[in-house]
Amino acid sequence: MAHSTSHASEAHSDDHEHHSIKPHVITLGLLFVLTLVTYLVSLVHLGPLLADLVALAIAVVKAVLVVMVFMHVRESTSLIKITAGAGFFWVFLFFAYLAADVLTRDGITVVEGWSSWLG
Amino acid sequence: MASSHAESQSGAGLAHHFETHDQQKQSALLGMWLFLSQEVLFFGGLFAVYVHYRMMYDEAFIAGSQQLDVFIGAMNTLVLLCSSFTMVYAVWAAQTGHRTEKRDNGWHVAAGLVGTLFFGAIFLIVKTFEYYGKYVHHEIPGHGFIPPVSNIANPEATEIYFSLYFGMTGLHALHMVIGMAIMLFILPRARRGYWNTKNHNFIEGFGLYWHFVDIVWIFLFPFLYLIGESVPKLT
Repeated sequence: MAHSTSHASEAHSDDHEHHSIKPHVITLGLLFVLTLVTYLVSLVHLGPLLADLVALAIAVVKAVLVVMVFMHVRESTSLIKITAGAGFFWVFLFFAYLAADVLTRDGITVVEGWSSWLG
Repeated sequence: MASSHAESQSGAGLAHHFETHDQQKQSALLGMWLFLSQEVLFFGGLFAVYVHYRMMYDEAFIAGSQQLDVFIGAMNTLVLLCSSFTMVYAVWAAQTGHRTEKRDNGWHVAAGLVGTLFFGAIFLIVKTFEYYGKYVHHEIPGHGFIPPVSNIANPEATEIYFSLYFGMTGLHALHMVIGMAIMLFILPRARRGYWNTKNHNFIEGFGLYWHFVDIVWIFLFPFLYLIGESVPKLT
């Protein structure tokens, strides 16, 4: 068993596992920069909808960095990629339908900037 | 024999229902990702409530957000990002068997976990002081809540904002507390070198959990703290 174990584990501690910590250090740096950027952008008056969309976009970029690099999805199998993507995609659908519902209802006053683009 | 749960130092056990180590690893990771997917839905529900009420009471949400200290929130974001990095370090050290002249592999894995515990603790201590500030200002929803503003359309809706603030950051903090309890529990094992190039599925799965908690905060920070920044202070 000891033999087969060490043999299997050689294939197992494998080629696709990166051997440098560097990509993670770079990612941490990018995440710091993006945190600063999202703060600075929040000081600019972009208007209600745009400010939220920009903040959301920056948060999504940060989340993608964490998922791809820190959570190793970049070098995972397709099955893991699909599973990881499915949860987030579901939330996107959830929010799209929620917004479609609330923004088109009568009798609910919604944020001007958020509703005006509906015409 | 191979099915025993590998308490040996090499810890490279292959459970009997798996053919290969890679299959075992892929199954463990898939299981973790399925768990995290339901966590996404779990927090997604709270974010949906946020979106809904934000659309109805934007002004009250901005007024509520203006009661938070953005500097503290931003610093805590950086602290949490650091904790994710130290977590990555622990997993990386286990996967690559990283060792230095004076320190063995287990030391590096444990050091990553200790770093994560350290940054996690800072985050939670800061959060405690933030919560205390809300308590002092009567901004905790429920009996005794006093809206921090009065010159807006729906000042009482600030209570909805603070309900979500406490609900979402509280649930997030609970995830961190659970994660930190697990880390404390596994720390001695990590130090002994239990997780190494041959055996790192567990710590990798745990790392995924911790990073997920980080991602939740990445979305909480702009939508709880930053939304009031470009608007003159409401009263």
